[in-house]
Amino acid sequence: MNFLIFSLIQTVLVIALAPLMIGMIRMAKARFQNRRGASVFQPYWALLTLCRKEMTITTQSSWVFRVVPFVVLTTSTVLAILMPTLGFGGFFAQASSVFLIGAILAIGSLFLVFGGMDVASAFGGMGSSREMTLAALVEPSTVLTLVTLALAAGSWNLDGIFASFAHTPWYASHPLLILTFLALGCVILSEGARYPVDNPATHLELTMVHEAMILEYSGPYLAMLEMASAIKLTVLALFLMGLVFPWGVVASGAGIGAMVIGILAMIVKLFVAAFAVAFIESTLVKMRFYRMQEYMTTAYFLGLTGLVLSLLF
Amino acid sequence: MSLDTLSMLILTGTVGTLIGGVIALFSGRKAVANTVVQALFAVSSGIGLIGSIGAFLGCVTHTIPSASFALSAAPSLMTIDAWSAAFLVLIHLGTLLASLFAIGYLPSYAKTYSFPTLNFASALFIVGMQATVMASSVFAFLFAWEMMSIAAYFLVIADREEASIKAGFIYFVMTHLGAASLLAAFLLLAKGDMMASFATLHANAGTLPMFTLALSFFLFFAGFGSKAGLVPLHQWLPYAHPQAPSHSSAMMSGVMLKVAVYGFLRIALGVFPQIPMTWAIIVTVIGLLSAFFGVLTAAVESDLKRLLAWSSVENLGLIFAMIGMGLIFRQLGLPEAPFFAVALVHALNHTIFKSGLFLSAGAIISQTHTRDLDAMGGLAKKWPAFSFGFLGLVFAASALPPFGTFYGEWVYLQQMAMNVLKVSHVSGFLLVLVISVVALVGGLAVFTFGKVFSSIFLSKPRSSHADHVKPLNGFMVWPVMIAAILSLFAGVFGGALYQLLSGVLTSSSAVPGLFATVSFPGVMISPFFLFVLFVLVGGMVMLLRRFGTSQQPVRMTDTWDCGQPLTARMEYTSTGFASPIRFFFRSILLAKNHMVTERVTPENAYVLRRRLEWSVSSIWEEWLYRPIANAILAISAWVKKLQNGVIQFYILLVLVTLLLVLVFAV
Repeated sequence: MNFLIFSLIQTVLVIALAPLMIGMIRMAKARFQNRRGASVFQPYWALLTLCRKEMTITTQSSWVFRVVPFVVLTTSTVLAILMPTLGFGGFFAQASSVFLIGAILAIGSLFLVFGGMDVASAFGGMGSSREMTLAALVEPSTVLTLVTLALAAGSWNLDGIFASFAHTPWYASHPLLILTFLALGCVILSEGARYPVDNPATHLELTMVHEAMILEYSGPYLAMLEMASAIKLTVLALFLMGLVFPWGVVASGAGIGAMVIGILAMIVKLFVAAFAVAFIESTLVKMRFYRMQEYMTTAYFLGLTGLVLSLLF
Repeated sequence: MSLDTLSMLILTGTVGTLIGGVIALFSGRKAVANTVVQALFAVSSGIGLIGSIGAFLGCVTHTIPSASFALSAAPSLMTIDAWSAAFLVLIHLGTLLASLFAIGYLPSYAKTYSFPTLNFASALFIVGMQATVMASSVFAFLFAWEMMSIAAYFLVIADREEASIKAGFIYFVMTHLGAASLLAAFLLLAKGDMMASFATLHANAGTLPMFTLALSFFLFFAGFGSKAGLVPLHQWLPYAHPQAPSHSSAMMSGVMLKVAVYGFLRIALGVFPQIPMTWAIIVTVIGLLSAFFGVLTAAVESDLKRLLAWSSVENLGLIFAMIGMGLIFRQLGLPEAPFFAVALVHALNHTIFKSGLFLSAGAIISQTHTRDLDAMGGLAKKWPAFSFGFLGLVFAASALPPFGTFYGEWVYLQQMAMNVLKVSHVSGFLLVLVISVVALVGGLAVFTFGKVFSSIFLSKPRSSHADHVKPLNGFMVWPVMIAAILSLFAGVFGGALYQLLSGVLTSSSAVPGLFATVSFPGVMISPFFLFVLFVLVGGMVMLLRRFGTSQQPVRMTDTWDCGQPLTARMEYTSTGFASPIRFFFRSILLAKNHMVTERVTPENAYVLRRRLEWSVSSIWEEWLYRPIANAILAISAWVKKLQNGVIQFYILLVLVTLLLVLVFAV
């Protein structure tokens, strides 16, 4: 199959499944709370409704406020294009350097922060300050875990890492990489604005980070930001799932049959990831923001231990 | 271009600046005189820029016959090779931007600054920097270095305020400690011959004993490090740079610090036959410490210009960490050239964006009349174009794609990470720690500049000055825009820039294509490709928004703030924004929070008012400078006992001294 078509399918698929991931997490959380919950497809309707609505913009804002949704959605989409989720060997394989991912995530965070600060409300400022702090503190862990995976796989592209792990699963070659995966999981929860770092379901100023920044957005812009957030979480979660459970990962040259199996495997992994996130959110409490350095340090040392145990000694 | 033409162009750059300085000295305080002088500076540096780019390309592609060529007017003192040419490009670029800016910036400060002295000092400063990188002998180097350093002192005290004079004093002491170290180091290597050339130094270095070499190396490191603002000799920088007029701060932070980098590179690579592992590790660790402390202090700083100065400490720290890592890799027998090349790339990028940031700081402060970020805000609505340019510089300073700084740091990280498994386990582990520190520094840089942009341009204005800013003069806007555009070009064509600057080391003989990529085994770094990807995806998102969603007109409303009237007092200030960082790094920043409770009377339980006092202090000041100062004071107090006012005792002292002199002299 053509590399370009493969990349296209992968990107479109991830973007199309992103709201489903959010829907599944909400559904699983509802079941944990003995509620029936809304349909897993509800986020699609919510986004479509937002797209059709009128927009209100605060008079306090400047041009920055209107640019933010575009930049944030662009960075998330670029992530979906560059990061392998369905399989490896796509058109952008060479460009998916491990050092690029942290930087692209940082651009998205930076613009969200600008959006939060531009509206002149105390909520936006609070969310912005917190988000920026988290983005700064998580950076070493992001780089460290990705470097570890790159060293273990012998490739400096995420794509190569994906391919290598699909060929030789980590539990066969480096079982102690489980620590690195845990660290990467912590990074993803932080980047995806999920428990125990952030509470996506609250509008209480004590606990919110991501929600506080997008508080003033409405209509299509809000839809763009929600979509960007969903894509980011889905891409990162699917990347991690693909590494941990390297079954059904498709090579770009594979036939239609393998492709269908791969897509089914991807949906199953998405379900598992959504369940895991919902499980964490239903069993853990959110950490106090001023204890976040403990979380970040734990993630960093998990990653460092993983690196040392599986590669250096 | 022929050698003579290049030589002429570069000399015109120097002589034109000097003439400008002389004109400034004899033409009063009128704004017109300033315009003429600054225009002359700008034209001279423009000509010098063309000449030095030509010289650089000539040296890299070997169309200039030998490795270096002498300037026709002063062949024994001034020569130019690829290194000098690279740094000359930097100097001329920074000067050009700053001089253009000063045309629009200085006239409104006619009462604060005396133009004749300020511009004369600027001329000497610029010429001093140019001469330092062209100097071919010890004497010429030190002379030019001192000219640059002393002229910079007059730039720092230009407004003659008390704070400036204090800052100038700190600068003067530190720069002379540095100069003294350099003089000692040079004399050690030159065996006392002040006219020795760098080639002679190199020859001498091969014959000197190890101890002398080590002593001179660390004296060099202290001398250049104090000028570059490396810890623990960085103390003067955040005091001195903010006090100078903003266009001078731009030259000091953007350019003068690079002259120190040039000096260190010249000595470390060109003079010392080899740098042992321990020395290289010390250079790297000091560089990383500077980067970390620089960015951490910048993150919690609320004085705009001081914050930028701290960020210079960070970036110079990174440059030295790159050079140090290169020296380590050379000792390990691994490829070291990429590190020196990225150090050059980062130096160039830092010159562009830091000049731009200091210039924009000047423009902002000229209207808001404060350096305090807590009193700014809301400028994006008033200056949309300017804020867009500033945003570009913010990206460059935070090392984010698609700007040039990012690619420098990327190659740096990539080069280290690729070798983690090729060295011993312990070295690999240490490399991983270095990578993590650089990542943390990068994260905090994003925090710092996110804070800077938000505090200056977003939210409501937090002071009436910020609320009533007037449109900016074009001469103040365009240099900032040019800097932003150059930063972007340095990123989009980052591969070509990297390869071009590697030419200094690897003696490549071809000029790389504009869309060149940086390739390592298994990795391709193609800045242009990524830029195109971003633009395409962004375009698609815009199309989707245009055709896929509701196009109803936007309704303008108020920000929701719980039904209260919204005031600027409710927003996060820069200080509030940085509060989490102050908390998380409290033990390093020595941050203290103290709640002061005022009661009606001391015994009464009723509280009149409470206020929070907080402070951060410098670990170096508290744990290094203060103990040394206390020790010196204690010794002085002890020595003072001799001064007891008894004349017989003084006569006895004279007699003893005389005796000792006689004993030792005979």
